[in-house]
Amino acid sequence: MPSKRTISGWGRYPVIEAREEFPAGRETLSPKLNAPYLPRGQGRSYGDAGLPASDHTALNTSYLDRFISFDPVTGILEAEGGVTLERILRFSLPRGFFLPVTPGTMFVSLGGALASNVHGKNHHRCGSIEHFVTEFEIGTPSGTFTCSRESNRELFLATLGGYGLTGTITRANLKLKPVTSIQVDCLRIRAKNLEAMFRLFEEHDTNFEYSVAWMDALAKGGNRGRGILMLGNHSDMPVTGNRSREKTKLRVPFPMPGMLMNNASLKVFNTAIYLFSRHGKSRENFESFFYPLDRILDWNLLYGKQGFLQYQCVIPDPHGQQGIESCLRFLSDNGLGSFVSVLKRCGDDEVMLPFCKRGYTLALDIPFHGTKTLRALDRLDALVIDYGGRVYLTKDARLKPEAFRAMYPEYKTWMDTIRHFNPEGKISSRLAERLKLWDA
Amino acid sequence: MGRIVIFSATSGIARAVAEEFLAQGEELVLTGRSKESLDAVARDLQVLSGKAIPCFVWDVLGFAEHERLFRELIAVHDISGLFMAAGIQIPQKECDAEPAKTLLTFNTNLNGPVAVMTLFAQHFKQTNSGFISCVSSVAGDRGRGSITAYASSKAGLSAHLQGLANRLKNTGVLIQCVKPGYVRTPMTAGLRSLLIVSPRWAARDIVNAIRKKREVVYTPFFWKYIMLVIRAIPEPLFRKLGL
Repeated sequence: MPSKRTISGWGRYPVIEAREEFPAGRETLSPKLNAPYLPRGQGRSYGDAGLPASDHTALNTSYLDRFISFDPVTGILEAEGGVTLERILRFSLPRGFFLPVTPGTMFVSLGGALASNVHGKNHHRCGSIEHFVTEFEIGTPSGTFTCSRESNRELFLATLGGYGLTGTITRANLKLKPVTSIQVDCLRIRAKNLEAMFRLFEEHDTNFEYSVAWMDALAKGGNRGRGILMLGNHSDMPVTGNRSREKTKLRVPFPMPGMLMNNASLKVFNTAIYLFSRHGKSRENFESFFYPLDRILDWNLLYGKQGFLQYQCVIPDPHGQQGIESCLRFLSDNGLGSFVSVLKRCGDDEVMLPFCKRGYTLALDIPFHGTKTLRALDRLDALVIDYGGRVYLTKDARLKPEAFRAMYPEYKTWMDTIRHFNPEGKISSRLAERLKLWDA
Repeated sequence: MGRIVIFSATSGIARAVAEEFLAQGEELVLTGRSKESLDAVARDLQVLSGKAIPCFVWDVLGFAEHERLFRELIAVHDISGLFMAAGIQIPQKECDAEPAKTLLTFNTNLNGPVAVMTLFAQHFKQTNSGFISCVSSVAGDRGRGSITAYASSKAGLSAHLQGLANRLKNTGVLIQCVKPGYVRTPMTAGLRSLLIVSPRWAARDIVNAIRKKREVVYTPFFWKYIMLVIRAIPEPLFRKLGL
């Protein structure tokens, strides 16, 4: 029995004491599934979705990282649940395949990506990763099942975007996307305010596979919502010498002083980015387009010891634009800074507990300043609920149970399915405890 | 050109080294104790390389079987090198509580690998070619209170490799002692250190060093200097540091 150690999500809030085990390979897994536990991948969800509930052990899947098969005709890759997207890309790019959907970091596990039903810059076109998972095998407290849309459909749809609560994904089949190049043809356009930004989204989204906007969340008045829209398509210049050169990575060695991220520094940083960042057309390597933050390892330490909160909400149409504007107004009225703020148009998810709804999604990195920050975000929740929106649980560390229920009316069906396979909460997370899911 | 035997191929460093060898166009045979784990690793490497990879169940602790298995292996395959990665690290507290665990540490890290390497060394000596690259550890460079059993078993292994290299100095056989620092493998699972590197990093260093015929390899390189300092610390002071 390993001793307890401190673990946290990527946002470094909350930090808990828990046991963590590291089974090597899926064949060694079954004896570990008897004690109360939570599957945990690379610990890249921001809040407490990847933290085991009290008296549960974290079952780290880092060494369940082997490929099982690959079919170059269909592009279907079969791999163990702990393999990282980075390892998949290192394998697939030289063979002319890319991830069909990718989050903003490649340092997540495949199982974690499924449990969070991750979305990417192409959500407006092809939705979340759910659509590219053809099958997976999952170990649940009620047995091991092979799931797809055709067989064990309920478990399939409750596990994708199910935050690990149904079981451990031991292997999964992911349909990769053929690409001719590892480069992306990009177009960056500056928008002087939110209205202009929405106009740009409407104008360009149909012509580009990838789109996302970076925004200066601190700008007020006529500048509110100013930012840069980044658009991209896979370049059709063929993949040649296709092993992409690995870039040197920087690492933040230890937590920076918390004062580093104050409203003044955020303001300077955001204004500078708005004024000086590139715009116009360019051709970029996939890494700088999809994973700019992966260049700095452990960038979460920039926020200091107290960590930070990610707040990502979606506001569905027809009030998407209006809702986002209200959110931004709320942020600046309440002096809530956000280091990196991201806006994106999205479509509907089809899993049992869907996050994305046709509309706009806004993601914010908010430095954590104790109860003051928590209270302000509670009020932001109320605003999001008024617009029929919801908060992404993968990034959440502080949502209240009542707010969760108001945001996710589907939770009952989802919990019924979870209870069917995990009846006693043998698999449980801090997230499940905090949202009182087992009382629902 | 013969095949390289990856001994204990399911270990973190061995998998990465196998991957690196395959990328260089080498042919491999994998060995290990569990057929199931071995097959899973072989499949992974097969997906990566597109080549079928033979597996051979061989437990480093099966002393009575070593010679027979070795004969069987060389009867089927032409062998050009051995990468030995068998090893275990049991917390010193457990070794203190149960002497059997100290013994297991020595059998897995020292006695077993030495027995297997002796067979290969004789074979390579006769053909006047081939290499043995064996994973020891920086921990073997000095006796340590915190990991006494592990460090001393690796010290024995490093000394054995040094001796073997001396004995085979005028042959075409390379004997290489690999001394990794912290590498992200199941053995170091959960370890947090700024100095920790990926198995790929270590694997590249090792495969490069084999090509350059180097007899001692620290990976990453800076451990050479760290250990230079650690070895130079006078014993009374070292004791105070409680490493």
